[in-house]
Amino acid sequence: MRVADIKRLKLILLGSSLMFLVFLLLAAFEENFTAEWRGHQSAYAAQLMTLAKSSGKPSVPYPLEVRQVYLEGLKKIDRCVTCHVAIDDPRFAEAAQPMKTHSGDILKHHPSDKFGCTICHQGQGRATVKADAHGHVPHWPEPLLGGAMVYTSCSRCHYENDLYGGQSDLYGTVKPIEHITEGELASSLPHADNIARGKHMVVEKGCLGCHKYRGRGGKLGPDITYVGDKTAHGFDFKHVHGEHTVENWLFAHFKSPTAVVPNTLMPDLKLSDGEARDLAAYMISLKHKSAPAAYTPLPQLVDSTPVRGETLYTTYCSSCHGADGIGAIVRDAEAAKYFTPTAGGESDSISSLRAVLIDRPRELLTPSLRNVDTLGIASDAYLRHVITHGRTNTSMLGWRAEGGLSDDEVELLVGFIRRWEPNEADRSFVSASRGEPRIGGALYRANCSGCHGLNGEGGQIGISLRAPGFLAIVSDDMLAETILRGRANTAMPAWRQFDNRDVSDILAFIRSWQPLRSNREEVLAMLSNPKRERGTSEERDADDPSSLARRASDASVATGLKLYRSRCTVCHGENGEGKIGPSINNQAVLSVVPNEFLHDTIVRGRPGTAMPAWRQMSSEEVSDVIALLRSWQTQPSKELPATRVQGDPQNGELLYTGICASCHGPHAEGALGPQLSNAVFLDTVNDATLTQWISFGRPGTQMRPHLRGQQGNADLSKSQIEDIVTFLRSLRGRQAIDGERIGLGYAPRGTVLYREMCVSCHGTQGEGTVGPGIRNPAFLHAASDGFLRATIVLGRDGTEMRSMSHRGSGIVELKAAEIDDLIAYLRSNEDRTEISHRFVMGALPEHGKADYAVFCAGCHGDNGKGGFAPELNNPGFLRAATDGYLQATIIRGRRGTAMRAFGSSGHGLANLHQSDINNIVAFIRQWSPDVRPLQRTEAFPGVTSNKE
Amino acid sequence: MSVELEPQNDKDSALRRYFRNLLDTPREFRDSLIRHGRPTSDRAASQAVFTNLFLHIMPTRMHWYSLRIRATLGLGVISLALFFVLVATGIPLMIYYKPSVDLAYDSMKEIQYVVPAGRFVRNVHRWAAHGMVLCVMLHMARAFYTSAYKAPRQFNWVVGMILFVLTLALSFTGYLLPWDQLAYWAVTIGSEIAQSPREVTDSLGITSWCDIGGFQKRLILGANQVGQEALTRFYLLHVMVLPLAMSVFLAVHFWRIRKDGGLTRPASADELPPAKTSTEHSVLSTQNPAIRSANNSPSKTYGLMAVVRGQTPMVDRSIANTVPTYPNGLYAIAALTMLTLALTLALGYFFDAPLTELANPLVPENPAKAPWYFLGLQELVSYSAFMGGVAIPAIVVVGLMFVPYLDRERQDIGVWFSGPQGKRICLNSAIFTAAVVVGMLIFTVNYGWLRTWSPEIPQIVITFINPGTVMLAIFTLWSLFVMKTTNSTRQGALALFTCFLMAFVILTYFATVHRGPNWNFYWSQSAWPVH
Repeated sequence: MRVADIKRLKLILLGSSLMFLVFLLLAAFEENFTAEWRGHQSAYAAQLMTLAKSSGKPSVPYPLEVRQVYLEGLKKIDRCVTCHVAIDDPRFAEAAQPMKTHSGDILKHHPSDKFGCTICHQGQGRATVKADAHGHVPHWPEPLLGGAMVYTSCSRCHYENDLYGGQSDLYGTVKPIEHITEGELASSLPHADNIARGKHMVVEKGCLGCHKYRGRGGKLGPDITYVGDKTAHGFDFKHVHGEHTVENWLFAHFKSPTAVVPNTLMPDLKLSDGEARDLAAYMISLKHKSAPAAYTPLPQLVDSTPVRGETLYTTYCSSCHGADGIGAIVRDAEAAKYFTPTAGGESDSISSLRAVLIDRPRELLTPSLRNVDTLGIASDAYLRHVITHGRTNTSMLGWRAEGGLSDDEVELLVGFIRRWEPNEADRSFVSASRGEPRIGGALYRANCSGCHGLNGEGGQIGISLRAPGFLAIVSDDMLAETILRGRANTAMPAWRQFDNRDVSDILAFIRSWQPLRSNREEVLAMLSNPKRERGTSEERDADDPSSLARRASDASVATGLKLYRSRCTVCHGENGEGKIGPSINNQAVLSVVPNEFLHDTIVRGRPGTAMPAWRQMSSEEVSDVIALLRSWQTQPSKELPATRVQGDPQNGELLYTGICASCHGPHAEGALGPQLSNAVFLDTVNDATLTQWISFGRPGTQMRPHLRGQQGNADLSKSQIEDIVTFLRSLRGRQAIDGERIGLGYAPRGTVLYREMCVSCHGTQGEGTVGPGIRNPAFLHAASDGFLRATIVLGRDGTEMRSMSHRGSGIVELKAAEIDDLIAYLRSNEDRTEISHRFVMGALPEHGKADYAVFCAGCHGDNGKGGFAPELNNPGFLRAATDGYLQATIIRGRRGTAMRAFGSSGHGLANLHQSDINNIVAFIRQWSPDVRPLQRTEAFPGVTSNKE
Repeated sequence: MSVELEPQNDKDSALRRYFRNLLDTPREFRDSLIRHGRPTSDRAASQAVFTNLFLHIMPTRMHWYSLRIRATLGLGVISLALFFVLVATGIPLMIYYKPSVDLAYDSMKEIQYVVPAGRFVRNVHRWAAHGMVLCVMLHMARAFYTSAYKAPRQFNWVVGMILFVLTLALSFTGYLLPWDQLAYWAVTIGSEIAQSPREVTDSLGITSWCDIGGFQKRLILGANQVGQEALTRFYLLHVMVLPLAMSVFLAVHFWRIRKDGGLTRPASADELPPAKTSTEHSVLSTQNPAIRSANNSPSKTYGLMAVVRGQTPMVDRSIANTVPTYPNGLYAIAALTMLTLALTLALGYFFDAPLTELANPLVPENPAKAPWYFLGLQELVSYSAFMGGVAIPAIVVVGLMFVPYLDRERQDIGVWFSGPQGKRICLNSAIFTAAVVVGMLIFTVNYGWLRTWSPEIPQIVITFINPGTVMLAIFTLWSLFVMKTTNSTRQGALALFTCFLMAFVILTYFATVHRGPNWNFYWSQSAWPVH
């Protein structure tokens, strides 16, 4: 080794040692002298010195050091105060940053020694260099929040800005889902206006229709519960200008969703810049409650009024079904999935999928809910089922389990959707007598004849309306109820578009099939000489003024007895002693009622009871029957004044409530005693008769005398009784109370009877097989007990429904109590929302298949898998839709959509026969034979069958 | 210099003696410390080296060739210096670092922002770590190309391979400690690679009872995911187990250098004219002829030749061609060490070590890239995790370990590339490898591999036939071909090593620059889809 080498080595050694020292010194120098914060602190120290001098106080030395707030609870160390030295020094309010005092009074409630800075402002609290501390550096996920954005941090501790408030968070998951309340929606923190506006925008724009927040909401879009916790790292900024912050991304996304995320399902909300900023701010505020409980104030108790159905609809439904329920165009989630670009090119399989999907419409029309036709046939149960369970293979999810709505809220939604139906006609003005049959006929032919036949003869879908037995016992109330509210789960829609005039016209038209054949004057005339045998009534001439007198001699007890035996014995007994119907050989009745009363009762019946209207009886027949009744009369008829009494109805009501209501019901709707508020009864009976009955009672019944001195139930004065009568008169216009019912039967006994006699036609649970469904709540709601009784006793002519009485040529003889038991059984599940359902019987699916191919496949697709019309081959749909729903839709079509009417009255594409429609329905059902709509599964209540 | 007994002098009072002693203390202390004083002769210099605990790892005299830059390029010393830097900076970092998933990242922030010069220390640590990996690799290449692995140094080559693996392990375990995204996902990738034997066991259907991959992964991570267990393990390995192992094997390595006859050198280095030897190569002798004459004959002989068996340089040769280690070798080592330190500090001062966001198991990095020295392997892993991550590196490391036992040719030891023929072979091999690797990459990027052409193909086929194994096979065949044509195992080994080295360089470059999200090909990072 040469000396030069050694020298060189020594030089290298010296040089590198010097360099080593230099860098060590540089590092030390930088550490101790040039740090950024030292400048700020010495400037502050100088200011303090100046202030101290000017105020004459001795200056306190201000050491230069790293200052920090150590927040044990928050697991944070904030060194912001190293540079922002004067945040709590009010003398520096005008100073420039970083020496400025904290603005506002926030520090009063959030002292910096307890809260630090970064919990609100974000940024990197541990850093001591401005660029790093403010966090606008790569790899720092929470950069400093500027301006109003700082309020997005409030939700780290506070609940006020939360959509659901703190209620649902209080008890964790143990607590069942509660409804959102109005108060929660309205609450907000002071200053945080942008957050509050954003919160309301989430509701108004229907964001939760696709996005889930705290377990509630749709699932097309990502869950937004903690979207504020996402860092810029989680977003794709390829199409976003400006700094890569979450706020910028969200803003750009809200302004133009597809520009930021091509092929996103997110619709363009047409937001202004300000709105987009507010919405972005609200999204960022959706963070975990990251602060410990000690920092988190208890949420204020807000009112627990559930938000209105309308708000719920806007929040969850409007994004797809439109703000006003008329439907909207949304992107097809399935198609969009394949058109979302992937990073770094795409594989061949995706390309081939695209080729398959190229014809698929990328935008879908969501159904309009605000459609009279839809709402007319969609029962509440249908709506409830669809909302609760959703529809598979579509964007409609089950809002109960998947969407997180409570049952209350689903009910509110159903109620809100129902509000889109036209207002129901005023029922008190509905009456056949007010209607114009010709107009009614036109309405009938246009709307009803498709199912019920042009002349009411009925078909496979609609029942016969023309049957005399039916018309005799059905009340106007029941018909009006059925027309206006429909019969849920059958093909009978609710005709809410009809006003009271229309309904009255239709009723008049229906009633015109069974004209009144008797005439009160004629009957009274004939009865004036009851002992004569009837002459040739056929020869009478209405124009002959003398005929009245001649026919008056026609009333014949013998003919009356024949008529009585054939028609009245089933209810009133062999000799009028009463069975199901009241006793009519009672002297207290016969002696106080005039012939007018008897006539009107026979021909108008007693709606709400089993007494049919015998409109088909001629004057002679009526007079014969009345003559028979009079033949049972042993006491002379009392001479009673025909005048109306004038009492005090208010006093009468008090008396009625005290004395009569216990038997006749609080509204005189009838209970143990008969119904008094019956319009026909009140039209028929005169005041004197009523006064008699009240005063002296009706021997042989529970009706006791009430006149003073009669040892009855009460000591009423004459004027008091007049008051009661006046009160009863005032009940003439009373709204019919839901199906007049007696409730005397015992349902378990009825179950046994039902199983013995009714099961074969009406199905094991009354859901209907060949016979109609008779445990259908809508039917039971409309039908009075009397209607049921009369139908059971008399049968329904023209149908397979037999009389349940030997007298009525029935095969069995039911006692009055047994009929009550049967009715009690039928009504035993009336309040259930999930109801049984009648299926199309005896249809031929193979024929339906051919018809489907011709008429339906063009739009609904070959397998019902949907073309541009909705998918029918969908278990969710088939589960929700009853056969009646399908029938009605096929017959009537759906206005406002491409679905045309296919029924014979429908001006549609085809005049399909009702059996063809049933075939199609049966074919559609075949797609998911195991899916039965809304089927009830519970067993018979009460006793099980012991006779099989 | 021996300690002189001072005769008792009555004239001096104890007080005077005390003050004189006080004045003499520094010198006395130095003498007691060094014991010999400044060496004034070769012998004294030898003694200085020999009696010093730290220096005695060096021979008292070194061959002049060993001190030439071209002999070693100083890579071993630089690596050792970097190891010392790492230990020195690692200890302060260890003081502030908290090995807990909750605290680790925060403690990194503390080190960055508050610990005095913490950022600087960490930067230096990081640069030293990367530098050490690089230098160790180059050191290995130097040793290979100069035939330093040949007898009697076979075992030291094996120890060197162990040190190489330990270096990589140290670097990799340190990678996780910051607990940031970079660390988390790089280690996740690593643990997936450890699990990759499942690729084979799955294909054979024996995973349920012979899950080597799963065992390896759990062994490394202590859990199914990178978490606290993994952090604890990595921390312990990084600060204790691996440095200890490293120190032990380093000691063995240095011990063996001496016992195996010092650094390797060409035979020609010993055939220099003797005239050059003792006069020109001994600094002290030339500087001070008076001393030289006085100390011409050693007063003491060391029986080194008796200690070591076989061909040791000292047995049949005199101290010809050697120079005293002090000061020649020491200055060279000191200069190199200080230069390394200075450069490391400079790098640490100007370039910050990265610290990305807190590790988040929910947000995968895309692409998640391993540290640069594993990127070549990661490229192979992208073809087959088992082959690229386990089999090929194992084959390469084990193969390299056995090179000394397979190539025992004795000629041209210590000569770079074993002479002109070897140089040509290496050049050809490098060109050949570049062509093969680049061609293979172009082919794979453009046309894909078996899975692209027939998606249903069993994975086991791809495991054994993929670009990595194909390249491995080509290199092996090339090496055998070279061996056959040159009729020399050394030339074959040179060809194979060059192939590996070149492939490593190209693959590392390719994976670093041209691989982007989803491990897709991009011309540069600016072409990546923005995230």
